[in-house]
Amino acid sequence: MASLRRDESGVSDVLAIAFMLLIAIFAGVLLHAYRLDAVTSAADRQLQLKAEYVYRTLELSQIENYSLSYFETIAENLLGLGETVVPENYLAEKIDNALSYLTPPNCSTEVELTKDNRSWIQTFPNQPGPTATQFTFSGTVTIIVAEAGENRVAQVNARVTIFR
Amino acid sequence: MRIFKAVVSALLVITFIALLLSAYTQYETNMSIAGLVDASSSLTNHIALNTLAYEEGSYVKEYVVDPQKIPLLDFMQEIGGENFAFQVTLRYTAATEHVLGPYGSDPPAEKAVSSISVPVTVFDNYRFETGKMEVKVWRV
Repeated sequence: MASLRRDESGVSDVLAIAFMLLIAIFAGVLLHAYRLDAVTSAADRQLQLKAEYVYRTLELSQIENYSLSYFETIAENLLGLGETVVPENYLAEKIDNALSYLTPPNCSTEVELTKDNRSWIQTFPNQPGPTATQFTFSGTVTIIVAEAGENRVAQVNARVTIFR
Repeated sequence: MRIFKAVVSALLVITFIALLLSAYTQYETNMSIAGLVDASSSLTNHIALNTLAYEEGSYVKEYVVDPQKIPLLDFMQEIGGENFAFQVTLRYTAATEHVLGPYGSDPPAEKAVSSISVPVTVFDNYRFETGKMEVKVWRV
């Protein structure tokens, strides 16, 4: 009849050691993953800041020799104010040039201005995939429309989105 | 077998302590880099909205950079109790690309540097031109 001595090793000892090893590996992974996203989050905050700055730059910078900003010119086109200061095709080319200059590396930028059922959407360099992360900044562009008798204020919704 | 178990247990404890130290070092590095990146964003924002903002009489035009103010900058800034030094380069397009700078001392080779480039409007020759402001920030 077989007898089991107290100091004899069994399967339970090996299992306990293996289990402790697994816990150590698991704890190591968890500890190293803790706050690993801090740098990514800081980089995301920078892209959000850049979306705001792209918006403000297009809102304030003037197109070549014209005294209107990019957004004011698009708003003029959207409102259909008869003969516009900057022709539509020329404006699209200038916005494309501006976006190529301002878009952060490895990102796409989309500019969208809407008024009622009319909209102006332009993307550089290309339409991003559905899984791209978006950083959006939006506001309102206000222009004064000169009309016979009195001037009126017109507003257009604007949005800049950076895709990564 | 007892000796084997004791050795394995000791090894596990040592491994765990080493993991803990390594994870803590990595955590510290990550938080330091994230802090530097956030400081560069904050500093750049402050420069564009306040220090370098173009003034039209008493009206401060935020997001519009006045290049004439750059040489007057103090290239040291305290943020959250830490001191940071920075360098500014301004690029803008007026027919051809103009590059102003870099202003401020070069970043030291042995320090971590965070670089950010934001689109800005540059006031030049009574016009508002499309530009980019690059700011390099490091801890002092």
